Amino acid sequence: MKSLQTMNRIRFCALMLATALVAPLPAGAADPAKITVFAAASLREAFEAAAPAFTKKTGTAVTFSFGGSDTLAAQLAQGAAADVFASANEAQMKKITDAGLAAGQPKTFARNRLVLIVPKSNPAGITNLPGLAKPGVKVVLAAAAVPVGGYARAAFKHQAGQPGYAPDYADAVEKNVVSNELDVKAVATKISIGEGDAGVVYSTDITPDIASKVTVIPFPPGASPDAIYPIAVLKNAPNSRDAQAFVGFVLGDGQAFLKARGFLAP
Amino acid sequence: MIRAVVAVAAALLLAFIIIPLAGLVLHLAPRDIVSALQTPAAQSALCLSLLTTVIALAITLTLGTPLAYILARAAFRGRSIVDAIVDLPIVVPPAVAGLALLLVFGRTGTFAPVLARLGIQLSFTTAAVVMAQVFVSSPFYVRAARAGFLNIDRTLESASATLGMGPLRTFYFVTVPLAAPALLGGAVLCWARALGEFGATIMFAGNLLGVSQTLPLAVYLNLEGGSMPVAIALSVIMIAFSAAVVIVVRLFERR
Amino acid sequence: MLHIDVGLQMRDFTFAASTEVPSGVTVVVGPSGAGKSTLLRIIAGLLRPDSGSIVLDGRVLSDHRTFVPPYQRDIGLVFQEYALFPHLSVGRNVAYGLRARNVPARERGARVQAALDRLEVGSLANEHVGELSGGQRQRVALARALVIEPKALLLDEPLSALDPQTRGRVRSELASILSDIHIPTLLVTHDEADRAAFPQRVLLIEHGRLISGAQHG
Repeated sequence: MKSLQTMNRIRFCALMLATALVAPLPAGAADPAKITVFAAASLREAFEAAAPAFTKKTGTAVTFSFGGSDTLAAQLAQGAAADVFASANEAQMKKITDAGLAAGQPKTFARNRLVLIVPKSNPAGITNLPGLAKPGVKVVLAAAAVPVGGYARAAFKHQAGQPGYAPDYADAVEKNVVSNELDVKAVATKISIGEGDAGVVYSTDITPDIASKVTVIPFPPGASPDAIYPIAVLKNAPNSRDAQAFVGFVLGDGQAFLKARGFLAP
Repeated sequence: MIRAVVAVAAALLLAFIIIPLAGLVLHLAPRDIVSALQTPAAQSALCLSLLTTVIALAITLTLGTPLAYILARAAFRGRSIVDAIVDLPIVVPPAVAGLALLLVFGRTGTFAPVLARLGIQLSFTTAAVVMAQVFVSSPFYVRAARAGFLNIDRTLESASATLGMGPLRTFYFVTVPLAAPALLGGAVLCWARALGEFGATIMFAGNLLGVSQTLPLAVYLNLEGGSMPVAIALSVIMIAFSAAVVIVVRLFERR
Repeated sequence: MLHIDVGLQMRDFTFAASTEVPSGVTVVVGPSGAGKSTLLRIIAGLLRPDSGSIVLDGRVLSDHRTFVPPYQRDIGLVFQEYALFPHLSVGRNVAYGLRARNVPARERGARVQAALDRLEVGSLANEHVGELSGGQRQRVALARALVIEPKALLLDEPLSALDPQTRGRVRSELASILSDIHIPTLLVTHDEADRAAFPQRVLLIEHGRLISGAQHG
């Protein structure tokens, strides 16, 4: 026969537990507006700089998930919940549209250029693109499925057979690849700490910190088409109205932030 | 009433472990698994993982057994500090471990001048894969071995000595056989951890087919590269390996 | 002849023992904690004394210059809880010391069987150590210590692990077995009843000091 005191304690605990479980449910209406944006790693600095301006303008908070566009696309395909996807190439965006995950047509919002970077000490003495094919050079690229890795390899194929490049240039460079990193930032980091002799990243990845540790060698004109960055609202966006607003912002006021980081106009 | 609650709790955790694994294993038809495994990428990852984890285990057993023995037997100042150091790799995130290895053994790392003089390059090599695996997995063995040695009745070792067996022979004839279940269990955990190592590997050894693309890296990359069947097939292999080893060891222990 | 003249500073007391142990059984009686096991461990080489020496049959086992490790002393020790190896059969237990001396397998087998037979446990060669009774274990431990033909034999409370009923019977059996052995044999015990069973030579030990006791004829 439990005492009245014990019974009351039990009732109290049960009530607290029930409240704790039920309370979060009607949260949606009361929460401040927010959106989740999956964006290519190369957009990190530009988007993080732009987000406060967007929030100030619309009152919507932005949460980013940066990574290799292929990783993000795979996560979205497996049902990850996001409002917007900004990819570093059209191939990964196509995966999303083909799977019926995009709401409407993707829009190009920026372009980017490839650059070659070597550590400041330049251990392999690389001064131009053909140098990547020299035997023994340690080349660090992103994996082929990562946009910048795809762009780089496409550029090498494009250059093969051109004046100054051997016919087997692309294969020779591929032989020199020592690592296929998961996103462009990893490539930049590895080269900046001296691991690897050369790497291919976007011109926008040359942040002040990276710039102090590497030498940048631009790609020759025509070697690589510009990287195309599409953006799209996702069909299953939890907050599609504010998602549309973000896309609109990126295409409008947000362009200044992209330009400031070195992106080219769409 | 209490028994029912306990049973439900236990069942929940068990189910949580089994259901995702079963879901993965049953996702593809066996035929598709087999054909995915026959791709060069899959075979390369398989061979590399087997090779590196076996070497890593061998290194761990060779160096870790004396360490475990010293920690179990010798009383010296700072022993608890050494104990804590041995446990560190378990707590440190793998990516941090990889970064640490890179900053010390990398091309511009602390040991770079020495390594350069010896003509040794460690980052981006298979050796780096083994180093990363040893770093993250050896604590599992050392902890288990140490516990195993601690549990042995020292009188038996004394008896062995009075009967004429020197320290090394005592270790071989008495200590190791008696600690064997703990040693074996620790070795299995160690091997399994090495097999699953990802973060430190990609940071220090990079990711290159045939050189550093172990099973976990291959799974992750194939997932992105859009080759889901290969990713799933490799995952199934890893689960099968692990299950087989665990079962074999449990059978051994029961003997 | 075993000459002992050693000192060792321990945590609770200063251990000091000085005596000569001739062939035959010498009983060392003392209360718990008096230092009986310490005495045996020092003689066996499991503990190193601070000072003094131990000489067995003219061979210096321990002095200020030398210290012969336990595995080279050729001294048999029967532990209080017998310390039989649980992962080895009875036969393999007894053969252990012969293995250490690299005695070839066939000779090992014969000597092991002989030792077990002598102690009337010859049929137990393939038994698991865990299956034995207390009395059987004691005999196996004894066989294991004796088969190596040691130059001295030490027994640490050989009867205390037995239940009271068995103790009396085993005591007289042990006395009869040990009477057959002609090496210095030290038997330590806290049980006064053991004194009577081994009357030849009795020493007392108290607070770490070994005292010569009365010698009976």
